[in-house]
Amino acid sequence: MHQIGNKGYTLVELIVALALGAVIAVGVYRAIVGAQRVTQAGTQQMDVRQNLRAGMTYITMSLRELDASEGDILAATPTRLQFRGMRWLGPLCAAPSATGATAVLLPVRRATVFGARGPDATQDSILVFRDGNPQTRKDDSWLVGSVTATAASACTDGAAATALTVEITAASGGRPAVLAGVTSGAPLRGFQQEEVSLFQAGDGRWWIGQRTASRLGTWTSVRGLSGPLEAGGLAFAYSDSSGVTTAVLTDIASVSVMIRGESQLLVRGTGGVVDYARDSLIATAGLRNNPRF
Amino acid sequence: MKRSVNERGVALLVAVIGLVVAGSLVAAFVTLSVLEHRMAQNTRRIGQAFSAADQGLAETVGKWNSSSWNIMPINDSAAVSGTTPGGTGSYAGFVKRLNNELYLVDITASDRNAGARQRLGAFVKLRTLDMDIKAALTTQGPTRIGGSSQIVGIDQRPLGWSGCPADTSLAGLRLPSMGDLETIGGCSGASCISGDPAVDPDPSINDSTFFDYGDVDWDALVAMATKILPPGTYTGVQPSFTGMECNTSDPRNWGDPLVPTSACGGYFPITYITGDANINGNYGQGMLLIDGNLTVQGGFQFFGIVIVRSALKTTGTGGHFNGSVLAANVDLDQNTVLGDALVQYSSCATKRVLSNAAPGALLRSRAWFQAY
Repeated sequence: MHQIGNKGYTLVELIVALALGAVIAVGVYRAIVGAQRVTQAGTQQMDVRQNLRAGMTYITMSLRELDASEGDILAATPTRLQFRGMRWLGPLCAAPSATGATAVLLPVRRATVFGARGPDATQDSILVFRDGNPQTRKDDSWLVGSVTATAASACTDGAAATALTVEITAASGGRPAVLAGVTSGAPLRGFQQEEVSLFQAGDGRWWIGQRTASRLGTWTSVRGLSGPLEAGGLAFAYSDSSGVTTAVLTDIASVSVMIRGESQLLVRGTGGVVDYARDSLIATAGLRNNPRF
Repeated sequence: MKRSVNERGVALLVAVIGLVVAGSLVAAFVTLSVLEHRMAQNTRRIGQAFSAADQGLAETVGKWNSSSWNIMPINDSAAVSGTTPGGTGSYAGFVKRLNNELYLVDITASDRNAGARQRLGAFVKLRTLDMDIKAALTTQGPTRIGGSSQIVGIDQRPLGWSGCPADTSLAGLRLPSMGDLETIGGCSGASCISGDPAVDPDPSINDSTFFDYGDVDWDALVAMATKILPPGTYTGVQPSFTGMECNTSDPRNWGDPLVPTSACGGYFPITYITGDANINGNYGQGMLLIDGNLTVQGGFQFFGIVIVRSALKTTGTGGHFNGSVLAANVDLDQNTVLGDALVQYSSCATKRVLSNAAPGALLRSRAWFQAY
């Protein structure tokens, strides 16, 4: 009779093998999970930095084009900045002309319109450069108005243009100020009121919030521009041209921006502590379009 | 050799799994590091490109090519390009004329490896010199005119110059009061002075008349000089050429007013002599600034604007000025004058010089922009 019992495992062998296998499996599992956590933590950290850079780039880029001394900063607190967000610019390609009861027609050469988008009659306010006496820079000024209509048009040399119907504010001198001192070639800047602030979303997380206003002053709801942030993770500090902190809007010459971001997901850090990955970024933006003298 | 059955086990499996886990960990770290490095590199490249564009903008405006861009037709463009000193980036773009005073500068730059691009622009306005020119000759102090001198305020275009519409005539001589004027010899009774009016006594004349020019004063004007020369005697002032090009580095090349179509015909230097100057013969154009006394002889011809801080004196065959002369004190007692006038007002010469001299500067506010 053939004995098959000689080729099997004893119970002890089996138990030892299972125990060893379990130990190895747990080790492998922990190693894999650990690798995943490290990867996730790294990814989250990278996301935080990328969000910080994106938010900072947007804010500093917007600030650089402002002229605080001529009213481009509308409100400034440590966590909220309201300003004229520049949207497009371009030069006039024909002399301004009167239209309607009080408006002026300003044709802009389409080929030399720069910016995030073109003119928008529902959104845009406008700054119109008035040269006055060409022999001096001392009387140069920017007239403020709003774009009420746009239409296809042509420059004096026949090139494609967008004709803007613009109402200049009474404070800027109204239509006579344009007809008397604005010539073909004068630059125009289209802008929207914009606000960047520390914003808490419905889920309780903090973000760099942004909202814009139409030319009639109707604000959009705040949306998250970049984030999430730590609580209180956005701070502005304002300095005048000599570097002294100022609360006077027209004296602002530079804005320091501090953003402290945190990750979208929780990560397990060293020591097994579960928390958000965090990082911060600080930059100072000089207002390049403040008057030079 | 017989294989022992007792060597069966999971060592290889464990080793493979360990390697896979370790490999995945390393791969994750490497991937994250590479991504982070690339993002940081992109940020650095964007910064370099931005700096290069900023420098391109600053260089274009700071080294304004007045002689070319100031006479460029409206809507024409001129290309500009360059590299940063450390080779960290390069830029290219254009200067486009928008109207008589305004220009658009559009610069696109990339970093050293052309991995990132940034586009910046600015609006530039000419800093036109607003000179108080209301006569062929304006003086502030005692003025003596004699010999065969002639002061003519009737507008006249220089021979061979084109593109200058006729303008109204000005006074021949403008000075604070008639008491400052002494006419002798052939000019007795101010007979050698003509214009509208011939003599304009203007008590409002003061230092500002001579040394303030709108947004620019004497010091700023001197800083704009394209030729700075020491005091002394200058002979042989005339255009010079290197091959077909105007040799602007020649200190005695003050442009070519007699052949406006030559290579030096459009060259209108601002020549600043830091003290007393004695100019003997030949010709030039542009703006001549004398920080002292100016003595002219040998039939020297100048086309443009002359400002003398102290005294202007002509002797011998004297000089021939086309444009306008502003001098604190004048002694024009001379024997012979080349041609038909000593000081001949020319709106063409003065405007062309002023137009060519004007540097570009960013608009007073809201000049700068970042394009997309």
